[in-house]
Amino acid sequence: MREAFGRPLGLKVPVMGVVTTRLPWRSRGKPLVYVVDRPEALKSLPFRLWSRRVLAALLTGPEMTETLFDGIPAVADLSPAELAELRDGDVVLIHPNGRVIVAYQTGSPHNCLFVTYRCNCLCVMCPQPPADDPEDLWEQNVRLLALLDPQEVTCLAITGGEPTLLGDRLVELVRLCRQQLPKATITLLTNARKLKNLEFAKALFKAGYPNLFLEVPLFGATDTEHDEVMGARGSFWDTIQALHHLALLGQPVGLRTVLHALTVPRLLPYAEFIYRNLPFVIQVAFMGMETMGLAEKNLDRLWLDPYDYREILAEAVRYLHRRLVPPLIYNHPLCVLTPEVRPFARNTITTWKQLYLPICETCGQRGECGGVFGTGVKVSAHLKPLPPS
Amino acid sequence: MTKTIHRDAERLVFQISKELYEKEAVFAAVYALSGECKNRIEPGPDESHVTVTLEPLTPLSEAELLHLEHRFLSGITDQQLRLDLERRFGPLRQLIVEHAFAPLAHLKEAVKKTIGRD
Amino acid sequence: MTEPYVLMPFRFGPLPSGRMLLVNEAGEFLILEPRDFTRLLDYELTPGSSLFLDLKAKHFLTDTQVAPVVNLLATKYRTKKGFLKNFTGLHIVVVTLRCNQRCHYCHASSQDMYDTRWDMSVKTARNVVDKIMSSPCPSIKIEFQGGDALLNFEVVKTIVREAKRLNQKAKKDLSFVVCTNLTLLTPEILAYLKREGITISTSLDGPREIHDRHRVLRTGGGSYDLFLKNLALARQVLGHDQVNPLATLTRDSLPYLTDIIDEYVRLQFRGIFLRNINLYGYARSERYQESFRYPISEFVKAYKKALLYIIELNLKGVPLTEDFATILLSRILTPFSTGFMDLQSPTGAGIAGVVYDFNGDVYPCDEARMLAKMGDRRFYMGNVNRDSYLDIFTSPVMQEIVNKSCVEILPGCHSCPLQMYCGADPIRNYAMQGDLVGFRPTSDFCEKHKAILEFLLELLADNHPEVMDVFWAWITNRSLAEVRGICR
Repeated sequence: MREAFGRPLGLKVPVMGVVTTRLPWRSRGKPLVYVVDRPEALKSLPFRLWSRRVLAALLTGPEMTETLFDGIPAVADLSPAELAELRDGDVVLIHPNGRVIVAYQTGSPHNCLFVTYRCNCLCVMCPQPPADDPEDLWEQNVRLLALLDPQEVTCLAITGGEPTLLGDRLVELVRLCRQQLPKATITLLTNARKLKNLEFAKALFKAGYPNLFLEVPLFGATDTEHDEVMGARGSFWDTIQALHHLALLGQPVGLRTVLHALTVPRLLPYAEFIYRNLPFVIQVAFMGMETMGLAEKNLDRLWLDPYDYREILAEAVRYLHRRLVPPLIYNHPLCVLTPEVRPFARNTITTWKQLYLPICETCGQRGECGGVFGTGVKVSAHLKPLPPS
Repeated sequence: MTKTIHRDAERLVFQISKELYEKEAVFAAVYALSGECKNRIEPGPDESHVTVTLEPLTPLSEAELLHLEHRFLSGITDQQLRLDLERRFGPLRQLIVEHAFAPLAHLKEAVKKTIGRD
Repeated sequence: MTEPYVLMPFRFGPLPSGRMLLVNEAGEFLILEPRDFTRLLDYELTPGSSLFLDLKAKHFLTDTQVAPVVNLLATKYRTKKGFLKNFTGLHIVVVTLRCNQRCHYCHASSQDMYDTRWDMSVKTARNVVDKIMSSPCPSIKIEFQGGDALLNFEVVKTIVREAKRLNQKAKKDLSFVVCTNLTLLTPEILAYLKREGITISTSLDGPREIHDRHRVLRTGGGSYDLFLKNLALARQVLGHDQVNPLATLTRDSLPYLTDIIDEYVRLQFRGIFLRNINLYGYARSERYQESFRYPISEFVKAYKKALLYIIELNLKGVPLTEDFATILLSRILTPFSTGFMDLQSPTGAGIAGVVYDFNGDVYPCDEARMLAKMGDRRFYMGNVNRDSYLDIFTSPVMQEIVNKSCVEILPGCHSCPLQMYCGADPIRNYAMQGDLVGFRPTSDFCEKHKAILEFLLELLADNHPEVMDVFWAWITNRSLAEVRGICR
């Protein structure tokens, strides 16, 4: 989530609302957050600002005097650039300390509901190690859902930590998503271990049908290799059992792996294992490692320059493509991939994490490329501009 | 001692140790060659051996004879190995096929019972 | 002392190259050097080594848990036997024995063109459809054979009409194929086939000299020219890919396989099925024994050459599939079941496919029907006009052939490493060797499949990327360019 800090005024409790760039004329409806960058917009109004009861808060730039706010809670001194990024329909969460979080960004394919910090694994490359959940996390997510425009939302992810740790609440959340956002594809990112319980898998399937899609990490062809990456003994067989339950139910599921020193050397046996044991998956995503969190801590043990493993990756992609299991490449800049697998790459790095380096200025394929992780500490030593495709 | 005791264009005769090779192994190896050879399996020359005679149905060259001898000797070894392996994992195979068509409710227990670990 | 790892069930055997082939219960294979094989059995493999992990990934061993591996293998085994789940899908209906040709190797023992005694009656046809639609299979293919099926076209139409009528309620996936030599096609017949969505299966043995050597008209002379003329007509009306031929290979064909393949390429057929002759019916007669009775090793030798030739053609841009190799490759390389009736365990005869004779007699396969024609009614299952569906399909005949056709327990098959890729044909065993179980050491069936499977496995072990591209194009029914990812 993108966030910004400003000067809080009159904020006693956290406020969540839908961004609007025009003064609301309705007196009822979803709580709105008015983004205003010029003092003129608030001067000489034919009415009192507080009479617009749907106005929950204001977000303003510098040069605004408090009296203009008419007692409405506000965060001031945000930069014009930050204010310009906010669009109508975005949902923001404003903390009393002046922290403004964009909980939902209209038009972005990367929106997600972050439902828990807890996890039942500890992946060696986890970019966001587990922690305890704040008490109001569930309520916040439910409220966020209610603020979204059902006509506009076409995709939403549910992520964490490990969402299945919510148990029945996850089922409820999925059902709420489907009911309130009927046009949205809901992607649940989960290690699926708890879905080895058939009843849980069934409940989740029914709650999400037909809009739910699961993405499950699998890191190796044996429990030895997978469990080592997951940091949890027994996770491999739990996940395999869960995947077979999901296949039985007809629940669409995709796999993902992260490419580093523990997964790349045996990438081809991994692809082979998927084809012989999990041929029903609708895609397999080969993901570049985000070098933060535990990945940063374990960097020496894990880091491989993507350019160095480009042939192995190409072989694995070719292997699956031949067998009608759709391969995808996430989080890799195009220049480190072999030309024939570039069509399998997707622009997947969350917009606010995306980074293009100075060397990318002259690249002829920059438009199609997703760049690198700006949040990481290490990038390939072989980035270079490409000719137009 | 297992060895070839006679080889010419008409017959190959082997002496096979009963300590090393079970009856099923010897019979299976002989069976595999019984499209090409007449065969005889007899006890002897002593209690711990059997004698196997193979008589090619069509005349064989020296090279072909040697090849046949090799095939028989590696044949009894492979077949004996199969018997050993069958003892090691045969019950697991039964379990796999059973579980495939009439799934067991308590697979873990069944596996433990079958091979002593899960 | 417990061993460092548990061996899971597998079968093994030496390949011609001397290396050891290992195949697990799901048909996955590994080829090992002999000394690695010994180390595996003596528990001397280094845990975590590449070979160890390869064996573990394919469930040849496990050093952690056993029960989940059993569970996974059970699922995969059940998947491989998936052809059993739906029971009979292919229904071959012999609508007449009359034929205008008298091919020398005909195993349908064709009769004179005007002798209507050998036609299926409308009453029988109705009862045949009734039995067909009683099959639990959700996908039914009705194949009209003969003689030449077109000679009793009224009954073909009756069956199509009846089946479609019953299917309004049954809602199965219904398809029809007419087997004909093409020489009797008329525009009216073609219009009907087009209207009803019926495809044509036919025979083309090769270029004129080869085709006309044995595929002769009753009135004299070869059928090649007439065949070509009607092929063009049929393709024009039905569509280019709706007419598919089979080639029957006699001893005369074997030296000319490349010419036969070139003929198929010339006529732009999608694929060719290289199959050796079946010694049934007329093919057993003394007259053409020179041509028909050949050692299976000759066929195998020619097949291998032909397959390599076809692969080369594919790489040059000619997309011709070899259908037999495709089936075997699917069995080796994919986790899925394949529905090839002639090579299943238990046998596909009666289970995957069944034959209804012109008089309503039901047989598990064509060979069984031929045996009955020659006086041995051992495999007669029942008659559609007299017996119920259950009586026919669960008859003692069926039970016996199923009992004796599981390669898992047959002598010579039960420990063969190629078991998961192979099958049994108890009726062929009975016809050729005298009993249903058969005698593997002298079995042509065994020799052919063993040789071709080993040949394919050695090709797969070479893992030549271009050859693999071609194989996967065949298996997934896509163009070479698509498989290579060139068009996206």
